[in-house]
Amino acid sequence: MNRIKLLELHLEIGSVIIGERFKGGTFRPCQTTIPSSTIEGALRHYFGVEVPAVGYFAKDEKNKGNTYEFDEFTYSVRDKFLNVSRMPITTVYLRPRGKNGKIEAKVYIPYDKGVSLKDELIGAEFQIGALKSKGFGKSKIIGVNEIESEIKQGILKVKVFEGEAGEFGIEPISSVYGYLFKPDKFSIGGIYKRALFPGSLVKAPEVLLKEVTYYDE
Amino acid sequence: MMSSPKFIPELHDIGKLVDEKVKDELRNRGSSWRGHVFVDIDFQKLGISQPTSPSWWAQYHHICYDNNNKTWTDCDRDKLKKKLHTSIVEIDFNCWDFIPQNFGLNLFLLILADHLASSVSRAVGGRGPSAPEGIWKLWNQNYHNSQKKKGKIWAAFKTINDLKNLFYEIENCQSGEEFLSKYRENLLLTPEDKSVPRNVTSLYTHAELVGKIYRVLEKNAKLITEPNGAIAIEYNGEKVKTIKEAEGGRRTTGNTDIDKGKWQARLVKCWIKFPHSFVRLQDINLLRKREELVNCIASYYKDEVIFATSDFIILFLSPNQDLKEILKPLLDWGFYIEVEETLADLGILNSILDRKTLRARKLNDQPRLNVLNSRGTKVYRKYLMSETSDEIQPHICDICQQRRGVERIKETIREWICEKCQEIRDMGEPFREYATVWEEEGVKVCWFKFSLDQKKLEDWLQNAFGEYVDEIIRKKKNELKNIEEEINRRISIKTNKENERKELIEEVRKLSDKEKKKTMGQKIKKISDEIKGIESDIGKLENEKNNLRNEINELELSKDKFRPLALQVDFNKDYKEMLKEFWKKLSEKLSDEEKNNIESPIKEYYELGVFKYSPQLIQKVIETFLDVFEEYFPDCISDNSSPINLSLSIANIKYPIREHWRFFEENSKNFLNVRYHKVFDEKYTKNELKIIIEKVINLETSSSFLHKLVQLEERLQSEIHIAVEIFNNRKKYPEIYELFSRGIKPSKFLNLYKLLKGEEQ
Repeated sequence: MNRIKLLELHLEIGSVIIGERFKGGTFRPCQTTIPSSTIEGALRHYFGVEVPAVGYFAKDEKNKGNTYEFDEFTYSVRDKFLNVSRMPITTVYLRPRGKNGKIEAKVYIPYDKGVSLKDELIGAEFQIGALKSKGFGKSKIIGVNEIESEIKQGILKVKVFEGEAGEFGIEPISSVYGYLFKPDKFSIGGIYKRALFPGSLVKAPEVLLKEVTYYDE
Repeated sequence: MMSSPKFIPELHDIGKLVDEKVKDELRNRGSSWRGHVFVDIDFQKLGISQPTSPSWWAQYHHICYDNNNKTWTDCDRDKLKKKLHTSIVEIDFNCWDFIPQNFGLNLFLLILADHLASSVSRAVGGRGPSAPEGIWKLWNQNYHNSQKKKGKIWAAFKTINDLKNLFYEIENCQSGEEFLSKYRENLLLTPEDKSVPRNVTSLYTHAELVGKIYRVLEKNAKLITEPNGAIAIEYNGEKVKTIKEAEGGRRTTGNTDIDKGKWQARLVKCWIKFPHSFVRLQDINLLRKREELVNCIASYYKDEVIFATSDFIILFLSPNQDLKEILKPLLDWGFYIEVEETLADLGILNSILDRKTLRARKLNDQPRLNVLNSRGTKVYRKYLMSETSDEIQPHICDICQQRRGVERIKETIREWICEKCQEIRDMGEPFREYATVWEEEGVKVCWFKFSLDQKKLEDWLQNAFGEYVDEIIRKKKNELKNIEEEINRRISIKTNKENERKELIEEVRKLSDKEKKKTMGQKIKKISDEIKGIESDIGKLENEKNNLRNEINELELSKDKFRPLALQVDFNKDYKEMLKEFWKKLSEKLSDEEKNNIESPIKEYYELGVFKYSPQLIQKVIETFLDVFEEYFPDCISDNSSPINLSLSIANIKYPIREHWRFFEENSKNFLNVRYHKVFDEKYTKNELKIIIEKVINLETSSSFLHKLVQLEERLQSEIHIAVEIFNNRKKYPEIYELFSRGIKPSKFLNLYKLLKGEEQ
């Protein structure tokens, strides 16, 4: 049976905003996945490493429901040049469901690329997503496991750069494509790179699948 | 001027539109016909000329060969079972000497199309009893009766004289569309097959489907002369001489009727999706564009497209037809298509074979998989998208996020929009007042959208058909039980009679008086005759019992042989009718002022609407939905498995349209779904909705008590406390007690109360 070894990080996150790319409005929606671009950016920023990573918000172990719920946050960006506040913007964010809870997430790194970081990652705290200055995105890695996941056919549940999919043992069968932003090494500019989006039919580690399927290829 | 006559497959079942009385009347004159085709009719006696058009040969679609008389005749199922007749599907095309060869190909393809378009596979041999009359719609069981009350009738040909018109149609009809349009009312009321359980599909849809499938096959089939002079029919590179050879067996499991067919086709389900987000109101022009493109594809590929809704197309295609080419207009405009495609032998191809195959694979159902695999059955899932580049230099289009955006500044707001998305924006302002008058007023708006979930529909149709068949089986089993009881009763009488005879015989032996012996002998004979009569009755009853058992077995089989495609088409037609009726009825209920406050922003797209929120309007929208749903789908499931749902999204007018749309696109819908931005999210079944309206809204329940319950629920999170509170107040608020005892949460009825009564949030 075809299996792949991965490093699985268990994250606990407070309220978080992983924004979508919509502009031109005063209302900003929020994603419910952790795209490669977001988690790789955080790992690069806090640990200085360039490793492929993918993630998703995990379901509650007990009731199998989401560990987050939606809320809205309104803020005003200050134009430093003109010294005025711009039009207030409302953003949707994810907050832990229930009192004193945390949003649970899982992040996967190819074993070979991540094993040297394992000790450094355990217990590490960092921030992901948008509006970090307002306290959003505080995350803590509460567990790091080495796992082996069986490669199966199914529906992908993560957003992963197409060029990095192979490192996770993901082989597209029929893809839903979107684009994720990949910053350059100076984090000044960057480029949008094609990515596999949730819903794609792939062969992939079972942990990255929304459901296992049985289609002809 | 009439063009030269064509073969019109839609006419093949025109005989089903004839009233049975006509047939009976002609039978008395000795010139009637069997079934619904006119192969054996005596035209001379009728004084009508036999049609000579190509379409006449469609009447031979149930022809059989009489093995004794060595003649062709209309099929008799009993004789077929006894092998006295041989079905045309098993006879070499070269032996079809009853029909000119050029029309033989037409008939060959028609029979294949007729099999594919039937709601229950023709593999199920016998017929159930004929239903009284008219179609039995699974989702609207009283449909035929209600139409009858309106004066509509299924029979288009009600007198012997009308038969002239029927044969005139066969002779002169110019197209399938002409026939379907002319007899639409009758065809919609007539079932494809009057016997239960096949009486669930309309003849309209059956004829329409046969026409489409026939023409797709015709485009890909041709006559070939083999080196030995024999004629074969070639389709997709496969040559056959019999229909059976082309379609193969009709079953996907078991040991019989599972042969591999040589001809395969594809049923392709396409869900039309888009990555776009509606940043401005004009961006919803995308929905208009989608509607236009779907209509354009459905009209250009009118045979291949079985049916289409605004976001779904189902196609019947030959194995080599290029799907991407068909859907290119949608892909060019940035839509992407989720495709589920089934490739299978014509004998087993149906719209739920994909699910059956995937389930068999999941459960590792080897007997079924062996058959499916040996027959080359394939199920694919694909995404079709337009060509995308590996990378995009910033900035990416704000709307579709699939192409590079061009900077555009409007009213100091900077946006990056690609050419295609800008073109859609430039299609015009769909509803100018929304962004001007309404926005200036700062009103709350309610967007609403109807949806039809095709996957839920497939599930429900399968279950509903199963239940319908089970109901018939229950009745048959009761009949069987009665017959068995009657047989036992007669056996017991027979035993008593036999004992009586035995005793009499013993008595006779002891008698010496001849006269007495004679009298006793007569008595014994009489009893023997009675016993013979009883035995004969028992024999008849045993026959009836065996027939019933066979019928029950065939009914059980029909569940597995069910082909929901035609029903899906019928259901979708009714859904479209329901939407039109919704807007019509709603408009009748609205005051002039209210009419200014509600809009269907995309013309001809009846699923979407928006209005300035008011409790009165929202109540009218919900009640109208309930009314039209009850009119068109009274027997359809209406909970979280409901194929049809209505979603309402209420928010301040500044709230982005894309967020309303995001709510509409969410999964896990119920019959009615309401989201009041930052206030509540609630889902209702139809029954919940009706009872809450009846008990809480219409009866003017105390809102303070409802509030108290909700607060208790939030604070204590204890159903027991709520139950105690409601129980203690059951005399004062019996309607609340009733709702709670039916399992409806207080928050549900309070939220609906607030929504429809307009209490301040």
